[in-house]
Amino acid sequence: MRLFQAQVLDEFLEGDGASGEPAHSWGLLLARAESLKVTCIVDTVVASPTLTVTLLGGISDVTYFEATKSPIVPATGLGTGTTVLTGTYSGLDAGFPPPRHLTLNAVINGAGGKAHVRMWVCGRGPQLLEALPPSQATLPAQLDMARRLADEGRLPLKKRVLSPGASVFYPPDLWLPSLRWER
Amino acid sequence: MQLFHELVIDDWVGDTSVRAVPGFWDAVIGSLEDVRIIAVVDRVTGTSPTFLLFVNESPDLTVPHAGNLATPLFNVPLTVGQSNLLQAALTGATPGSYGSHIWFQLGGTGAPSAHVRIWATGRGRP
Repeated sequence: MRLFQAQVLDEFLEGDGASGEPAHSWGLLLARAESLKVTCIVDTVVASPTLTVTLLGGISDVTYFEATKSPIVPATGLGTGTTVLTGTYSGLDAGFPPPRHLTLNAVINGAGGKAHVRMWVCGRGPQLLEALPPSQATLPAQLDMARRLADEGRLPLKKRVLSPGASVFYPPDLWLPSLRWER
Repeated sequence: MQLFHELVIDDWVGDTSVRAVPGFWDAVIGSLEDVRIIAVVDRVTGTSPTFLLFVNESPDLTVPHAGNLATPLFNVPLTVGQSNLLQAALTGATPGSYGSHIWFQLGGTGAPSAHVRIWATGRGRP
């Protein structure tokens, strides 16, 4: 079943090597689905660049060291019209199962290349692992969640607010209220 | 008054690559105008080691849209063989965007390394 759907990127990429990334707040949600479908709609193209999308993963929500699926959307030449590109990833991948966080990176290559890139992600699976807490992007709520996330990586004796073995989940809009997604 | 006080990174650094505080602190640190930053750097090795700390701001919590907000600690010399206390602050004089992201980096030669801890203290009105 479909678990969530979200537009994670709406960006004009300009120049050889220009890249776009979703807000890192999406990281935990993307890693929660059994499978992901990525859809890119690209228009307003100049100078016929290529577009490549990589699925990145890591233990942190900002520094991604692993190319979990590279590429999830192979390098594709862009024409002057609208181009629709798709890619898929299964969390059951034996070689590269999803780490704690996942994100995407879209890159255009080609001298003088420009493109308007929009990207959607649809997550599918039996269910999200935890019930979604109501989110409020307030300082107390963000501080509480940040403390819990910091505790996740600590040894049991150094934990302060999270019980040993417990994990936490946050919806993307906890960190940035303008992030919207549908269940 | 003090609204939060957190150890945001506790890291053993063994090279001169740029390192980041976890991104889940970005929105918290970006909430307040006045943030005190204390870095305690010990177990320092290397030749003429230095410590750089800078803060990027981002309107949407993305890396491509992040730009420098402040560099409160610019290549501060570290003393080998003792604990180094480094003090910095973000103030309302330079208001930031939504998220504030802290980066740090060791400099010097001779394979610098150090144990780095950074605390952030947010002050303001609740």
